[in-house]
Amino acid sequence: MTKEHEAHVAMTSGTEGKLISMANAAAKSASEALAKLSQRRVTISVASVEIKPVQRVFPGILPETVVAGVYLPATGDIKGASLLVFTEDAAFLVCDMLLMKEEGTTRKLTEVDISALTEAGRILCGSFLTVLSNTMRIKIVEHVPSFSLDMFGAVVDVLIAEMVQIPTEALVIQMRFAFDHARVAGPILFILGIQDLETVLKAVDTIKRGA
Amino acid sequence: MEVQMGDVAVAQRGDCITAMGVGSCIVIAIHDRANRIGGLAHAILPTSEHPNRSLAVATHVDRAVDELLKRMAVLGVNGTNLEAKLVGGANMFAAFKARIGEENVSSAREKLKKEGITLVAECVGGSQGRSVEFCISTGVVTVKTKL
Repeated sequence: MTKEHEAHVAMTSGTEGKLISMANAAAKSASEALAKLSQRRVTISVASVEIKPVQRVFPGILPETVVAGVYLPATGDIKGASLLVFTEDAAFLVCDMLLMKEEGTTRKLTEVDISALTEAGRILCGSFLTVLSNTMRIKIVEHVPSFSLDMFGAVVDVLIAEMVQIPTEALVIQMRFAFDHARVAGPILFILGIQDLETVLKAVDTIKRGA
Repeated sequence: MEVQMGDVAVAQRGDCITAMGVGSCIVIAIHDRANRIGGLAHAILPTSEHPNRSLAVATHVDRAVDELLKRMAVLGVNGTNLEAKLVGGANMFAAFKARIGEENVSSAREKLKKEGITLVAECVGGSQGRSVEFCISTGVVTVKTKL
């Protein structure tokens, strides 16, 4: 897009803190699932939670940079999608870790690698959606995830296309992953219409700390 | 010169116009071979019956082509003997229900036909991203994909 926008939806530091707690709860459950899958010690931590227009989530990535994206649509009381993004090298490392390979083994993705990455994306995005659904007592239906390893611009343009007509923003959770000693980072985007995003934030705001 | 999503650009003679990392979007390259003038549109969505005028000028295919022809006319193109090439319209995610890519391709073909512009080549559909370079002096459109 040629026009750059600031986020329309703002959150207070209190809401941000509660969202970080929720993301950490989701990260804990996802790390347990990924540890079972990979037979390694997995730690996932939340570096930050922000709200941004989708076009401004990745300011440093060039359109031709190759990234791996796992896309998970969601419907129900709120409609949107989540997208987990890794750089190509990070995706290779995650494959090594998930499939019990020696670090540096994966140089191209096989069907098994793609399936493992897609499953990891489903676990990560799904954990957060489950926490959100349980906390807000709303129905969120996850759909079948899908994967793409391609130029960054191409991976995200269809999401931008979906959102052009409806004002939409992304809740961006920057995650750090540690599989034993190997570390990678990648963001998860939860893309929602502004109205749904405001509903989520309002509901999060009413949650008592520690609830 | 790089054209971002929702935008158009025109150029002449020795210039090249590019669009990087195109997925479901459709890139429409129009060339006036005789005058060596060309333009490229990077449209996001198919033609809309109820376009939102507050959106970027080339958001929808029909407005993108109209804007391209308008800007090419300023450079001296009279609208006859124009040739077009299409690139893009991929479906990057199997789970994505809306067939935006396919609809973009159909819309672009229809619009070009309506404007009397000959579609001479296309590299569309599939599930791969593409980058495009359009060299105005030769009319050659080069498409890059990730192997």
